Amino acid sequence: MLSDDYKKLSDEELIGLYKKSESLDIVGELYNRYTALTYGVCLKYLKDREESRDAVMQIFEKLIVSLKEHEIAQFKGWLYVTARNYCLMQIRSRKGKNFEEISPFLVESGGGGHLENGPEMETNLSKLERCIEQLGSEQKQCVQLFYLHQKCYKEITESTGFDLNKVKSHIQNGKRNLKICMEKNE
Amino acid sequence: MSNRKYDIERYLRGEMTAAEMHALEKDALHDPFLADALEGIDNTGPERFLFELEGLHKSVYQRTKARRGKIISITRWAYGIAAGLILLAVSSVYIIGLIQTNETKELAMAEEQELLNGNGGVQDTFEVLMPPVPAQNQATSGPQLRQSRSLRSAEEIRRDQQLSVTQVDQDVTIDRQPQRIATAELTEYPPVQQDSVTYERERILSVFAKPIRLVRGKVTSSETGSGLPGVNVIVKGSSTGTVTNAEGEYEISVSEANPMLTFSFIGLKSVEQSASDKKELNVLMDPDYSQLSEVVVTGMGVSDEAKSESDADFMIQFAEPKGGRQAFQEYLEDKMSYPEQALKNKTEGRVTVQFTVDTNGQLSDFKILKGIGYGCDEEVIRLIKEGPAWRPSKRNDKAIADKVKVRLKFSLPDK
Repeated sequence: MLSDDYKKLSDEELIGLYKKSESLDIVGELYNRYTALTYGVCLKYLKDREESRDAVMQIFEKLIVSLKEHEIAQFKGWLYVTARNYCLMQIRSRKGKNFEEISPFLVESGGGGHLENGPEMETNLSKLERCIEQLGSEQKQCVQLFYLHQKCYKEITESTGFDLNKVKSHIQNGKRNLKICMEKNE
Repeated sequence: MSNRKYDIERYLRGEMTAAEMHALEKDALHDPFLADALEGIDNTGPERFLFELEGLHKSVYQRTKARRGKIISITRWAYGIAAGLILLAVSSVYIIGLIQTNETKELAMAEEQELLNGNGGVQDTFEVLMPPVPAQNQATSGPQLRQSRSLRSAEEIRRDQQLSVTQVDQDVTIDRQPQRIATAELTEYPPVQQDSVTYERERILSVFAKPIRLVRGKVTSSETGSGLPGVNVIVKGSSTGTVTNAEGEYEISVSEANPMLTFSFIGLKSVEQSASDKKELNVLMDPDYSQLSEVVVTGMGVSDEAKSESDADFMIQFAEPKGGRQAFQEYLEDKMSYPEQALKNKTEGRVTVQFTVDTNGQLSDFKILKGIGYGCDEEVIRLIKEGPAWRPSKRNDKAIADKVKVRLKFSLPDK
């Protein structure tokens, strides 16, 4: 009954409700939205399935307490950092190395490799066209298919014959080269 | 902000359109959370991930239910304690009240006596008979009172006797009443106290015990009576399961939300029983003849067609004799005529024959995969040829030629 209504509320609205009511159903509904993501992240860092499952449940416990006590502006970002920190702590207690922690209240921007930066690249279209022309043929193909034709990875692998990881790296490298090219000509 | 709950799961199951997939992949470039998660999923494999994820959703759900139960039990406990204390207070007030009324009654009687006696010389010693602590022996209260009576002077005896009769009666009644009440109190009071405490304790324990508890038992064969090892024991509706040991014994955790246990094993009929309110659950399992039969009909997919996209293999129907396999088995056993030669030679054993059922249901290409000779192999072939017609195998409702194996066991009669 009420659980259907919960589905319509935003993350932040759910948190507001929970702060007032103590009902664990609300936290459960909220966490359900992100269980897959959380589990995926834990798998990335912890690698082990059983540990990752435990981590997901432990993070849930933290959630139950933290939502009551802290003000959380953007739940998704907060959850990501909390999950990552939890995983890193686990690794640290396993290995004893030094890992940096990020405060849950800072949102990470940009980042290495695959992630894009904020400002859009399509400001100058003709310059962009020129730069695309200058890309190697594989990178050009993948970038065009992904960005211009809005194809998903599966379609791209089917039409080009490249395997999935190659496609991803062509897109990544292509993007980087385009960025360099665009900045060069400024 | 989009509701991310279903997106990744749909993406992995292939339920998204290409455009949706592209949108998600593009988001992954901006969103470190999504990117990390996809990477983790890549490492473990999508099917396994989805399977484990289901279990996780359930665990989260159970966690939200469990905590609530605990909160309720704590308040119940508080109520229970409060109720017990109130009962204590009330009963002690009552008893104290009773003690006081008895004392006043005795004093009143004493005054009566004095009036009657007219400053009687003898003092009637009315002892305070009701001991302040109810634990005292109430049987002694009566006689004590009467003993004091006997100290009266002789003059008043007659008058007193008149009166004493009544008064003795009164005494008796008055005596008995407090006595009775006292006994009533004595018998009731401690038990009430104990009852409330033990009752509460049991209730608390039962409430705490409810969420998860251990059930154990033994699975035995209804045929042989011996324990069955390797039987799957699963808590229905959850991913909890175990397997019986060499003795057929098992131990598993159930919760009151999921008290149904399912016992299964190939060759035995599955059993479902509730372990609700039980600590021990022993189960008998019967053989399931429909799963194991002496006639094994298997199909080996033989196809010349090119493999079409994705789920082409899912709709396979294996070739079957008209009337069904069970009936075919019965037919074979019924009509089997033990070859003379084999009888003379005391030959027995299993014969396996393979043949092809073509798209029209015609049988051909008989091969003896495992034979015992002495006419038995030929007997099996004869039985198949003269038996019911066969329906061909079908893939996606299209008939295909297929090979079928039939096994028949020859057992010498009456050893």
